[in-house]
Amino acid sequence: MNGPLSEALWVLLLGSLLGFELIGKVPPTLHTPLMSGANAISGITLLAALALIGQAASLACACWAPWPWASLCSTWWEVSS
Amino acid sequence: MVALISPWFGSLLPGLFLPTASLPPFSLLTVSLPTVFLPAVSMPASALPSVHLALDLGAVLLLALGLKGLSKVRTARSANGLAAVAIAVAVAGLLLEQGVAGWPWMLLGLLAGGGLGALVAYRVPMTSMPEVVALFNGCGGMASLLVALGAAALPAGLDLLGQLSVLASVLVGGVTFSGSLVAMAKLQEWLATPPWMLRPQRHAVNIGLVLVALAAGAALPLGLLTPAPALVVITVASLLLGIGLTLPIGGADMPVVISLLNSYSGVAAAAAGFVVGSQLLVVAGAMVGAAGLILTQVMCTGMNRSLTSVLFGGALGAAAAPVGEGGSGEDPATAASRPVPPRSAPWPWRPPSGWCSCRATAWR
Repeated sequence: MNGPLSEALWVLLLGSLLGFELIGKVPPTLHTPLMSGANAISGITLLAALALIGQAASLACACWAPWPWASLCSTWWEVSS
Repeated sequence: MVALISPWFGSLLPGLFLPTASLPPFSLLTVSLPTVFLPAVSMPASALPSVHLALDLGAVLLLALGLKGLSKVRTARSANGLAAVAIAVAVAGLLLEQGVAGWPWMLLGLLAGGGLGALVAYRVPMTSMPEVVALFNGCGGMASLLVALGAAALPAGLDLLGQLSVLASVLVGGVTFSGSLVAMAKLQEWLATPPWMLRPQRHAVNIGLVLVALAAGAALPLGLLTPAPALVVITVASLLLGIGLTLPIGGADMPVVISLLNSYSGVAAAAAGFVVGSQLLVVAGAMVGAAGLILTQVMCTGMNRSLTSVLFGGALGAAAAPVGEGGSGEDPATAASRPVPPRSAPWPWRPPSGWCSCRATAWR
């Protein structure tokens, strides 16, 4: 059972412990900045979005164009011919 | 076609609302550094797995140091910049490994998002900071939701782990998104709790929504439902659940709720990490989730209320409310959720939270 699921679960557990331990006594003046900073760090979802774009782009055809209407035109062209 | 559109949204939204910390340079740094690395991607991707790993590990280290530094007054400013650099390093590592296929989408999302985020962060006054944090938090949740939907829309199917992580990401992301928007609307006083929302039946409705979402999620790997209707059901259920959980809570309790939703958005980021298989995301999301939970508890003890009374009390389970304001015609949930001074507190007492300039803790 050393597959990616168990690795990811270990990582989840240890990451949570790390998060619990890192935040000790927080002075009240830092409540807002800490929340804002933690919010900013949770913007790391950006990486997942970038990875997804990479996967989708590599799946499409070589002439993949970034504009929705261009890909719409190409699919309409293939369908109609 | 769907596979092409959904990653675009997935990048646009987190890019669109790159949550900025209280110092403005954060979003500019995160936007500019990856674009510097774009020309380097002529290298073959398969030659650099170790570089990606090294950059990921470095990013986690910097993130941990940054999060720790944010809890001490002396190091808070530099820790903010450290976290920004960490995310930029992580983005660079990802782009170096997988190449920049689809770079117009990425660039569009990053510029639109980073620009909007920087604009809002610069222009908004500090007294509205909780609302801004709520807004950005909601968009972080929406980003996880869209990443999960986009991964489900890819033509390659999902295995069991993928389906479960998509379920988790959609659920948590949806709750975070709608809950954060409701929180922002309440803090801006655009919304008041309608009286029908304060009845005890709302707990049954919320539990029912959770069960519906879990049932639809369980039906997915069992093959009872095709992915599209199941995902629609889970998405709608989680969005309604977010509204149902946050709407009954009063305005003065909103900072605590926003901190809790902040923690949820970290969990949603971890779930998105499960979806795309990135351990960096899982670690960072777990750290933010756990840290947010601790911060929520700290804020609750500062307000002298317990977390359960904040979340589920509403106007029914509140602690002894101050002088009855029955005739003032204000939101009953807000009246019941004002911070209560401890018995030994001197008069005049101010709630010892960091939101000293927040409108939600107005005393009458």
